[in-house]
Amino acid sequence: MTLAGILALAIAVLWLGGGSIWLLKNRGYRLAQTHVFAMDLIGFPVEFAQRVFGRGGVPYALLMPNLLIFGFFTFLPMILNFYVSFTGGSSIVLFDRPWVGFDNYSGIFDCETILSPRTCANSGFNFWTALFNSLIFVAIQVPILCVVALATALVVNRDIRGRGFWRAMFFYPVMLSPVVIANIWNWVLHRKGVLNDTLGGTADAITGLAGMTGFDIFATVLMAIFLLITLERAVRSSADPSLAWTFVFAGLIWLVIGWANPLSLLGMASSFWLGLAVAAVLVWSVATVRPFARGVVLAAGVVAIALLLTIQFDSVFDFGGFRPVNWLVTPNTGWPMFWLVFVFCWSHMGFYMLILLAGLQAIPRDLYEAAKMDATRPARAFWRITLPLVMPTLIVVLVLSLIRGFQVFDEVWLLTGGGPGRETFMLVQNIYETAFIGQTPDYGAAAAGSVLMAIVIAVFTFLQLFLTRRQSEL
Amino acid sequence: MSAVSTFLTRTKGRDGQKGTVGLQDVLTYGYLIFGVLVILAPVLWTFLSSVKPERAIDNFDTRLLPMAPIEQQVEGIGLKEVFLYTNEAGEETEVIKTGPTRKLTDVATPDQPTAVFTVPKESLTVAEEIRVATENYLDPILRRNGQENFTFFTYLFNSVFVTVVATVITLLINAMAAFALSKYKFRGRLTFTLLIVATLLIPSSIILVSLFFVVWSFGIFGSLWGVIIPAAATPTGVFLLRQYMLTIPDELLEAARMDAASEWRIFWRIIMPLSLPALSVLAILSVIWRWNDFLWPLIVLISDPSAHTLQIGLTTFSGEFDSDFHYILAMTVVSLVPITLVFVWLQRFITTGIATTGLK
Amino acid sequence: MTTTPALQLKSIKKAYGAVQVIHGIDLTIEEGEFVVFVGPSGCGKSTLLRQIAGLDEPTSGEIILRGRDVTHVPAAERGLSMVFQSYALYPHMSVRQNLSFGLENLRMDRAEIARRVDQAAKMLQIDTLLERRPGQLSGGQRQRVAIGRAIVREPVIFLFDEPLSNLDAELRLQMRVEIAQLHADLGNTMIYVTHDQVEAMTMADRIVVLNKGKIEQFGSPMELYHHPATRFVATFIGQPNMNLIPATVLGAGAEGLTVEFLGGSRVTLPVEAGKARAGDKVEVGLRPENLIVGQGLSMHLRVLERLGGTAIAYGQMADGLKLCAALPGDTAVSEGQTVDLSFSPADAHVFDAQGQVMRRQQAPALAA
Repeated sequence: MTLAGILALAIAVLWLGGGSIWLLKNRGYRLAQTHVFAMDLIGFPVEFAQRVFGRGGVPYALLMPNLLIFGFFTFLPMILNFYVSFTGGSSIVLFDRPWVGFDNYSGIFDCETILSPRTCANSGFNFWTALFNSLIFVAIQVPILCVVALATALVVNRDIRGRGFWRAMFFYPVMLSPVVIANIWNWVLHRKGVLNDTLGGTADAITGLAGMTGFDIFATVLMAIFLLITLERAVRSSADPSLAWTFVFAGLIWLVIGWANPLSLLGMASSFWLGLAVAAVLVWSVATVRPFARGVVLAAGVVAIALLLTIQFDSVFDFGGFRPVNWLVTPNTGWPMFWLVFVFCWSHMGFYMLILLAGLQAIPRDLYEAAKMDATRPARAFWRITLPLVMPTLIVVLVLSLIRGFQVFDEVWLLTGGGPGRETFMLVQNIYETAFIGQTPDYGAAAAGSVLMAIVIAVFTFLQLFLTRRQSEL
Repeated sequence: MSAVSTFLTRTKGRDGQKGTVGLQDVLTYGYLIFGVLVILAPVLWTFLSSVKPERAIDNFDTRLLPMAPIEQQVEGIGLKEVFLYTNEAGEETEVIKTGPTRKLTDVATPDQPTAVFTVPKESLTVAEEIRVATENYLDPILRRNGQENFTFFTYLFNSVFVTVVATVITLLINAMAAFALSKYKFRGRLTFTLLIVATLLIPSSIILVSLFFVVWSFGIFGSLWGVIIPAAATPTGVFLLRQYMLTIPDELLEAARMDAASEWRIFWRIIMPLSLPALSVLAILSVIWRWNDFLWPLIVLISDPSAHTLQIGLTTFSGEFDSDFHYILAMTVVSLVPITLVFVWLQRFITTGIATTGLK
Repeated sequence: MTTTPALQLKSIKKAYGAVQVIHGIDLTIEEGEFVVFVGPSGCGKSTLLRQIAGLDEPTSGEIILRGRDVTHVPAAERGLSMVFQSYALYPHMSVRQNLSFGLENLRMDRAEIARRVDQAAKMLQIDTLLERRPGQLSGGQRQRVAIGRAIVREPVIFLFDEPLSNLDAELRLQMRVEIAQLHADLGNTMIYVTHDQVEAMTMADRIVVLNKGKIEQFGSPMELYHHPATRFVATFIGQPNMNLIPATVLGAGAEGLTVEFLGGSRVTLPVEAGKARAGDKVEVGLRPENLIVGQGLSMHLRVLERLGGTAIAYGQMADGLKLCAALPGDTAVSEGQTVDLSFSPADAHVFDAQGQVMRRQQAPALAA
């Protein structure tokens, strides 16, 4: 008989048997009061504690089951983890495990240089690869998740039609299981799947359009009209330029610079980053209400019109033949990692959105009305009222998403399995595979990996809390 | 021109202040449409794909509706696929192929399979009809057509058992702990509260290996209880309920004490019914957690197929039948439907409940 | 009369950590009495009531209920019932369930529960509301349900913890009368806590005036009014509040105490002078209703409130001391005037520097 069996039997006999006798002896029950008896029987230990120790004993009896489970299944494993990490072998009986000291740790640190996992011994190679991949994953995922969640919360906090539906829709993926999510995205992202099909179809259509005569002139004129309208909208108010329109205008400038590719004169392949930088400067100068914002926007407009005339739209929109991408398995493209970040954000964003939404709704409406009375522009109200006041919630979201980001496993395991190669092999998968997959499970190394992972998470959490401490004191 | 655009974008306005659709509104609705595309479209696409016949799935047919080639019983030959032959005049005739596909293919009408004539390959198209492939669902569920290994009802039962039992235990013991921490003054209250905060900070994946040792020595490894018990005490649940119970006035408890109620009766008859809003939020969370739980069940239950939950069953199923996408998709939809129905039914409650209970 | 009192408190003390809130209280309440605990907020009156109820335990001292020491007996086993300030009705139960919950806990017979609930409901005129929830009731109705819940238990003592403070003025008046009526009908011992001296005066058989965790005085309402034991009781009881005028003792004799006011006027007051000696500082207490127009105290009239029957005059004496007088309603004075007031020396109260009273010689005979 197992330990659990004996325990369960003892508890059952004491609780149900002893409880029934005690209750029936101390209190009369009629047949119609069976449900009362059942209720009293469930709480028999509490009733008993009250009788024996008085009211002072009750809270301890109430806490007991929860604390027992926490003790056995959270705190005990926490401590045991250290012990296991100092033992070797593959036995699952704790006393049969030989003490090996720091062997498991030195195995992980057995490298020429930690920065290049390839120079490590086997367990070190796995751990450091996993750590660097996890760091990359977290570094990309956390900011994206937070920004998207905040944006979504702001959108569904607006006075829009069908607000309840939109909130529910953004939250819906949180309800889905990782297996379902993985199957859905596996199907969508398949090489012959609907995403490649749609992209291919769109590319063909645009290429076809670009091949038509007069497309170049038509596109130039259309683009010029767009640019002029957005420019006029952005700067038409006598005061500072409108941020929303500047945003759109900056997007157009980015496109124009990207297409015109002025850097090709310097022999560079693409002006993508230049465009992004110009757009960012535009948005920044307007968002922070610089005195020169108006001038910058107008100058950018003039430059954009000049660049527009140099663009060959025929070649810009000629995508040629589209070759389907094998999104999740093509190595050295970054796509597998991209889609993991995407799917992770897809499935968790709704949860953080709700937390942020609660934070946004806790901001008193009067503040915005006061701001309106002071003629504060919406963008300024966002930076000076919304953002500071939602900051404590945002920090909670940051910390939570960081901890969860390091723990990612389900989606990775089911979508890429850590591949291609070891491109998406992360910390938890390392622990799981070391301990539970393969012929000789190495619990010691896995436990050592867990301890190191705990340290990494703790360091990053504290670092984050330390860096944001001023905002959280608000 | 701006007068025209003002006219075109003028709306009634919801708050009476804004007369026109501003750029912010355009961006807002643009974002929402983008959201529909990214969130709902893949799920709907999966559903639509799951009712397509195996052939359409294997060919990655990206049309929305489930199309299947028409097949017809032909005398003396058997089941044959029907093609549409378009002659030079543009008239269409139903034909079957009587020989291999060549540049000029031998065909015949289904009524007279012996009257063979020859047509160019280009003039033949597959005749198709809309057919919902219920076999995608029924084969694995009824364990037929080579799907004997997928014991759907076992998995379903295991999932439901784990979810229901774990949720009931979680609600009961978390509510008891929350009651103690919120309504009693006793020595060690702060210590216990801090202990529970500490468990909030211990990620479950860190203690994976040693939890395995503990569960194994308790002898519940490989059984459903090994999944239920370790996760039954949730710090989140204790805090959520504690925060809520703090708002219940102490006078109610004192009134009950004057009414000669024992502390357990106060808990059962006063605290539990009054905490119902918080309890239902925790119940929903617990159902989501347990139903969707993956890594821990994978470790504990993988060796015993009769103990697999739906999620684990579905995973091994996808692993075994890497190419049988039609079954995988159908089973994905099956495990997606209950949680979706619960969500649609309770969505307002879930979203406002989680947002307003100050959940961390 | 029964020989055992309903309730005895023996040197009850209570401290929360280092803070002492009850400083040794001795009190005996007779069977069938309506006793009101009154005092300013923070005086310990609610704490004392909760200790009687068994919701708190005293740090030291004994609580004796009908001869039985119940100091460490849980609330449930004391056989008391309590009406709470917030009523504390179980919001998720119907009125009937609220009333029967306590009886079910005692595992009483179902027929008996129904009988008691119906009887109490009829008595309080809430019999049509039995199936409603507390949330669907008005303030007054909730109050009745709370009282009903106390009645069905048929308790040894009813405890009321500021039960009327959540009601509006009109309803408060009405419920005050009803609770007094209830006491007359049931004849139970009742202990009632309030900070409102009007409630105390109108409802109590005897009043316990508490201040800073000590009993200032325990007596019938008129005793408190005519013979306040301390300066605190004197100013707490009576509306408008008693005027206190500082004075210096000139001499004490058999006919009373001769004092001199700051203005220089002298008067001999018929009180038992005790240890008072010439030169002692005392305060002369004069109830506003005892001041009449005449010669003696000169007051610059600031505000005049004409209530019809009486006119309350607020003003200042020449030395800046504030004074209040309740004059007959049609007294011909107006704001801004200087009014001369006088009083009968027999009506004056005298308090020594410690706030203790010097007992009056010619007090009105007490009714009870």
